[in-house]
Amino acid sequence: MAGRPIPAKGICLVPVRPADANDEAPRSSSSVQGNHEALFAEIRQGTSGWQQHAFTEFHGLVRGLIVKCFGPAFEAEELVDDVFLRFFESAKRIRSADRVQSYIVSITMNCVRSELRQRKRAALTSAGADGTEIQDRPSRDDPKAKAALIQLGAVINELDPEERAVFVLRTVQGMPLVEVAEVLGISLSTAHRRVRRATEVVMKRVQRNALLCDYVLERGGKLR
Amino acid sequence: MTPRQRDEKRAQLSSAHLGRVYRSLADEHAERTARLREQETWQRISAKASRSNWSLLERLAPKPAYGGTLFPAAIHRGWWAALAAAVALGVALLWLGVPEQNRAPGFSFEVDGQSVSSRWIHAENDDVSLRFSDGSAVQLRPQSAVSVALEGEHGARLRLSEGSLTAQVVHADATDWRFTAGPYEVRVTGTAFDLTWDGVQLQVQMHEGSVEVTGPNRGRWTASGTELLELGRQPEARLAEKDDLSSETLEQPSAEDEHFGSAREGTDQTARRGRTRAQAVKSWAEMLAAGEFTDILRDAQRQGVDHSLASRSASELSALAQAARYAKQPAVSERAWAALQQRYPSTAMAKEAAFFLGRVAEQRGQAAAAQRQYRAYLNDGKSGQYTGEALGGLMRLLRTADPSAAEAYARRYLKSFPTGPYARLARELSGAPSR
Repeated sequence: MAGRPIPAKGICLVPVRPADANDEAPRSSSSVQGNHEALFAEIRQGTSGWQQHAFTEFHGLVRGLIVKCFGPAFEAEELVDDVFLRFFESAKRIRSADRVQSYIVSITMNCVRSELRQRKRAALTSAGADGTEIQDRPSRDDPKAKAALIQLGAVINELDPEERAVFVLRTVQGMPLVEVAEVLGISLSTAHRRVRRATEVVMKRVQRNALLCDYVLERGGKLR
Repeated sequence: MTPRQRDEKRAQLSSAHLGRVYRSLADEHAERTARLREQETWQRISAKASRSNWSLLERLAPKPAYGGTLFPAAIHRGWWAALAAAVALGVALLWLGVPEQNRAPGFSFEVDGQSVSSRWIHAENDDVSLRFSDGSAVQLRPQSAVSVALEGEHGARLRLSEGSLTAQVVHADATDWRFTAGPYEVRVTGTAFDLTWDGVQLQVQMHEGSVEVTGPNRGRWTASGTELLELGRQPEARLAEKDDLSSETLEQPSAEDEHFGSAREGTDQTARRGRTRAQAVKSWAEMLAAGEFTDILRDAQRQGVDHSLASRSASELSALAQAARYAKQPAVSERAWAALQQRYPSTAMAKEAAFFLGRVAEQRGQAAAAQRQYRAYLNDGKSGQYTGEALGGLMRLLRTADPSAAEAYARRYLKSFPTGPYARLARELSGAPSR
């Protein structure tokens, strides 16, 4: 049952910035607890059109998280719909303005995990993980970037649903570990353990692919 | 750089570095698709909310988006309010006119202390409590969804789409509660139990009293005391069913399916007497509106997909096609649209079918087929509801393959929809000045 992480008595919380290199805190760490005072007020008051404002505000974020979890070949439309419909139904439960964004992130990750579990049960492989499905879509200007995105997506696709969610929020999205635990309703130590395990798997796979590794290093240098 | 230096450099790759690169690549991709699809997505979400008749309908309504009226009825909100007040007054007057001893107590329920009009209730991270006026209670567990329909004064129909719930049903002489999950139905007269449905297996953990469960292939089970009842097919069977749905091989109903149909009707006619006729003969259009996409597909499979395609009405074929699309069964969707075009060529729905066939083909990566269908939709004379979308689809598909054709469609788009969702793309393709 999901709930807020509760530190056990007498047990020290795992530090947010762990010392080990595998869980190095992302430099562009982005908290999900942004303040959305105006939107929160609209939701509370039931102001007309608040749903559309929320959609405009979070559509990019929701779609981005889904792409990060499933890779670029995934048809995200249905999942995007589910996230917003659930958000609209339950947003009145949000208690403060700084929780609006974390609430929708939480719904997104629940939907993602639910979809992943269903796929796992049905033993469905991610369609187009090899990039076959996106050939007819508008192509990127940089074919190397396109290939890298497809290959990284395929690596992420190998993680199990729980590890994938934690890895995407922490390592990719750059969210503080405390918030990752809160959003996913798991303890801090569980979040930490899953990040470490997922990171090991992903790094091993990426380092085996010399071209992908070189591209990531090259592009990462430009991002600095 | 020597191979050794290169290896050393690769070994220095950190997870944070990798995360930043993946984030930047994925964000670029998401941003591009979001920009292309934002308005289309909003319209679709609004339409889904409308179809589901959710309580958010009214709250969504007042602001028509992108030049269109999403919920025309809401524009006349004042009229609706007046009508609702008149109905309420009428009910109150009737109520006052009924002798005290004949007054029905009125069966209702609340969700976490608030009355709801929403058909589907979702639990995200926390439990959600449903309290019924007869004293019964249902605790919906996280990541679960249930729909509730009240029947008379002592009956309720709850459909668990996924997840689990704990039910405590208070016994009365006429108590008739039914919980459905997938192909199973749990009949209750007064008991406490946990119900879990994961899309494949049903689990009933009894705490008190007894229940009777009916299911496919004339299946009938009972559970009482603190028994645990587990029913359901293996995941492989589900996969086979999923594959079969989209293939030619399952066009004829299977033996199990034939039994399934008769078992559901014939298991216990007496106990089913209280069941409303409306539920038993729910149309596909109604099921589509309720989001019961897989149930529609299961119905079609039970009757034989070929038979359904040859015998169903235009609106039912449209519902089947839409349900298949939402349930990610594009092959079935395509066949339903094609049947609609073939059997009802003069209807408006047949014209729309060309657009949806284009959409399905585009989603399946069949660019040439998608272009053909979009063109067929546009060449059908009058401008239709999806003209802008079809032009947008052609611009998307042709921008790299045939820029001059894309430019022509872009100009046509700007002429009809200068502020439409694809206006930016159209200006980019046609070289028109941005606004």
